[in-house]
Amino acid sequence: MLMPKRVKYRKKQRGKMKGNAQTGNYIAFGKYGLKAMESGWITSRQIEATRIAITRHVKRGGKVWIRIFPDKPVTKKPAETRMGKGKGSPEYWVAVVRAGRILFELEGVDFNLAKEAMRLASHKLPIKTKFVVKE
Amino acid sequence: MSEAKLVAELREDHGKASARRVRRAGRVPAILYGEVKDPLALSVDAHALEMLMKKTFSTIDIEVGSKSHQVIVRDIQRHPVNDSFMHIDFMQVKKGHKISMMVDVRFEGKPKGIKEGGILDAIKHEVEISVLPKDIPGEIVVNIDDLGIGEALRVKDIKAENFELLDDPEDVLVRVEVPRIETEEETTEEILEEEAAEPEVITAREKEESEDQD
Repeated sequence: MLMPKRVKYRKKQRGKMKGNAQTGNYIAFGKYGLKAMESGWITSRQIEATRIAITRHVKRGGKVWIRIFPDKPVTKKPAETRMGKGKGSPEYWVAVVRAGRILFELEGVDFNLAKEAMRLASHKLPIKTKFVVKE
Repeated sequence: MSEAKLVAELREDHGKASARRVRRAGRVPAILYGEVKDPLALSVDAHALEMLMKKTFSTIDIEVGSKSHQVIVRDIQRHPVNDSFMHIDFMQVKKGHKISMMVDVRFEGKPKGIKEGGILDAIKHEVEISVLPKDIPGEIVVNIDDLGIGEALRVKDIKAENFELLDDPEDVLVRVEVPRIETEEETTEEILEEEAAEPEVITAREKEESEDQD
């Protein structure tokens, strides 16, 4: 699964997701894309599940790009622990996605196959998405 | 290729507040530059522009008041979420003067390398050309039927009619890659391995080093 190789700090604050995506909001590599229509955190497991869904449906002949990277650690306190005693330990990694961001790109397949692959992929994600085609 | 027509109005106010007012009124802020002395701030009807962009055309005849300008679309800014037009750049062109512009490349056909199990990888989706306004192509169509596995189609392989290619002739447009076979077992093993590992923390290493020095 995707995660950084080295980080400056082990834990991060939650932050906010205001506005729309200012970067990564256009199809840069492939012909088809999956665009986020709302903001949210996407975990590395969800990214991996989505990638598998796309590659399995396309089978062979297509090329997939993952345009997001989970670089934010999310911490969690162990079960049945009293509050306090500091922040919990890092549990998983997420990518912060804002509305308008292109999440995945696909190339080398026809329109219908790409659309169906992206439809299957969208079911693995916690946010609303849209299938987009490069102009 | 045909010429399209569009009616524009002069925009007197500038800045984002004024641009937002224009958008709320169902129009799109635009700018016209090129052969005109000073750039003209314009606005065009959003619906008319939407209809126009669905067609293929070489140049647009844009009417501003009593004057008419022959222009090409240089840049389009769209809303990141709903894809509506935010702003459009028009560049005026002169008859008989060559201009350089980017034109889309469309790949036609199914390469034989794909049938053999290769993966199609399009690297360039548009090329830069130098062309007379009357000869502007809507898109350049390239046939890729003969591409085998490991073979590539380059800029020099495009048959240039009425235009000159400005990109490096050796630049790869599209290639058929050798397939990379990914087995299920490998991926699950990778996941397990990576899940156990934690990333290296740079600040922790620095702290250790400073403690050692003391």
